Amino acid sequence: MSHKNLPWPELHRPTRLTQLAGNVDAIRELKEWVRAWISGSPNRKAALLIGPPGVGKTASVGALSHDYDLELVEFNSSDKRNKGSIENQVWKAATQQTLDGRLRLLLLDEVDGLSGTSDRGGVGAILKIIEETVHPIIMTANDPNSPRIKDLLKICKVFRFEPIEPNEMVGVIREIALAHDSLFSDEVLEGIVDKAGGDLRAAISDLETLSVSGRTSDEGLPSRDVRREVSDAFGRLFMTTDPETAKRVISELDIDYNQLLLWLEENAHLHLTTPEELDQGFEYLSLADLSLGRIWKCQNWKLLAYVYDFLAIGMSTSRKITPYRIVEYSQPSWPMLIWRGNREHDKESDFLLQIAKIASVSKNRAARTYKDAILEIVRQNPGLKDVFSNWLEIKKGFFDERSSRR
Amino acid sequence: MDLDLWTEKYRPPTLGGIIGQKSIIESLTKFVQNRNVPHCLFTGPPGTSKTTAAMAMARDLFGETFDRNFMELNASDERGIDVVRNQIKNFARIMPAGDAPFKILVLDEADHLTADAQHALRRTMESYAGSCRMVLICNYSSRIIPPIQSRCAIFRFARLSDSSITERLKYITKKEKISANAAGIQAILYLAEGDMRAAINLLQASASAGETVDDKVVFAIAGRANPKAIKEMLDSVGENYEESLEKLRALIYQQGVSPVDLARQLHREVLKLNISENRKMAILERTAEAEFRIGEGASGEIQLSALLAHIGLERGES
Repeated sequence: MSHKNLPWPELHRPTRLTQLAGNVDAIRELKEWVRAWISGSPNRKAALLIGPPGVGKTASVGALSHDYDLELVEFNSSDKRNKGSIENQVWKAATQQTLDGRLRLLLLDEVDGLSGTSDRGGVGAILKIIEETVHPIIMTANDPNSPRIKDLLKICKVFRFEPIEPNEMVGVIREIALAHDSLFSDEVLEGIVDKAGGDLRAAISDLETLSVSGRTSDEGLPSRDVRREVSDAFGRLFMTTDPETAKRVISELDIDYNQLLLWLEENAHLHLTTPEELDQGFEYLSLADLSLGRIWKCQNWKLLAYVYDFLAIGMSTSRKITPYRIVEYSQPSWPMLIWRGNREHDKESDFLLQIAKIASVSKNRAARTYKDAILEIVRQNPGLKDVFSNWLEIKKGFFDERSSRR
Repeated sequence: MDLDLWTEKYRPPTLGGIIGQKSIIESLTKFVQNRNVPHCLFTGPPGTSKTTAAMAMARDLFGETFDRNFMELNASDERGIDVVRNQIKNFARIMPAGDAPFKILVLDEADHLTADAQHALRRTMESYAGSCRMVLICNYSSRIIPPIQSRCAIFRFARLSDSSITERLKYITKKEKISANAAGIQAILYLAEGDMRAAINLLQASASAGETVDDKVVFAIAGRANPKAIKEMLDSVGENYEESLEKLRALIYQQGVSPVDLARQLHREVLKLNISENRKMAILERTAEAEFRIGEGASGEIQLSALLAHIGLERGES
């Protein structure tokens, strides 16, 4: 295996902090956090880097270990990470000194990828190690809403990594192209970046694909930005009144039916503006949804063809009066709403659990008998907020949100 | 060699032999020439040469060491996290044999990997990139978690055109010394809907009767009605319900087409009728309902008779 043969995203993985692109603030704070460790006084023993793929989370950890001469030990989700193996291996690495007395930097990559079944107890074990560690621990995750990192968020210093700015990405891939004697026009480089949607690793990989396959344009390169892809398709779907075209648009769209349904639910009203149009459009959406429900219930996959037809033809033919116009489509919001609802529920659940403990009743009974009374007391005497929140060991904000809602 | 499956027998061994997907094949060929392949994600509907392309690329690249450097896993059989942590990791970490620059692991139906397993795959892809490149194959890329997509070059395979499939079918009929007429090929194209695997399987099944492959044989083997018969049934429904009912019964009881398949074919033919889109959608709604009821155990004949009556109503009003 020659070094040259590595895929470009690996070949050009940044090894020093100065080589990293984007996320300047997060990286600066991360540096300060590591320096605090080196001088022996970290305020939080573990850091959690959260951000979408390909924005430099893992790369910045590698660069930190290089720049500050730390011994890097990595545990990722390709290793088994259940309670036992974390307590055993990670604990050893976290609590024992290195041979040469350097600090060791522990990287627990992809903690939101801890498996629910085969990594059982993993998070609990990590929490315990964070308490006892004598070395800095850095974790990475993509999904800030993952239930698996809920407890980690509380005790870690959190660093948010954002998608990298397009102009910065163009600069990076231009240099890489030069290093490989590949010449691309600025237009093509911008096209690659545009389609990568803030994911630098994807952009480098796409650059490699174009370069190695000898193409000179980014045409035919699939977009990695779901939102953009869906927007293009919806534009064509609602512009046409021809059912064949509508069907083709939907069949070429590379997202699955569940997501398609959500996207349409969120955006159909932008094109179907009269009550009749809206009624008809949503009737078809509802039929598609019904068919999906039946598919799941009876495992009768033959009905799937109807789902697509209800969506494609139903949507495109429902627009009768409203002229076609170009609109901005938005991402489905209800998965987000459910998540928020669950979080509300969690907070409420903490509150009720405390009351239940103190009053020795069930949570249900606490909700029925104590909740409204306590909320009312606090509403009448806002000064008691502190008293109650201390007593119930919950955040003060809990009462603010609830009293303002009335 | 009568027992051979033609889909396997005529699977093109090299990239040059693949029909259709021109720009993708060009890119893959260049990868082989440069002896450098990124991690790839092939997405597209079934029967569009995804697996064939992955295997052909590996064979072109490795030549004689193909067997030692290539592994294919079907993720819908082995889809848990332990497969990734054991089988895949063990294959990926071992250096390639012979003069191969790296090994190639094809993960077929990768969208069936559990989310956990996909997470476990992501660092394996990077850590062992020096010794192993992966080709992930799936129907929808949206079922592959974003961090994996970020690590792959994505290729979208489109449905094959009728002319591409015809070309291949003609080649096979010549090699197998069977005769197939134009109507037979047309019937296969109608039923395969751009799926090469389905087309070749249907050709082999139809040819096994030993006669000329014509539309009659193809529709009989597939257990489907000739679209012409469906159209005739639909045409008579407005004026003469009894006549179309007779045609329906003939299809079910004489030609042995299953009511569910009939409903699906009606679905397809209704869309071609010369009536307003709203009426088509109204019929479609009933068709979906009929198919669901049949699936629930209702009598196929009754449901389809009722469907025909409704189609008659919609057609009569237009």
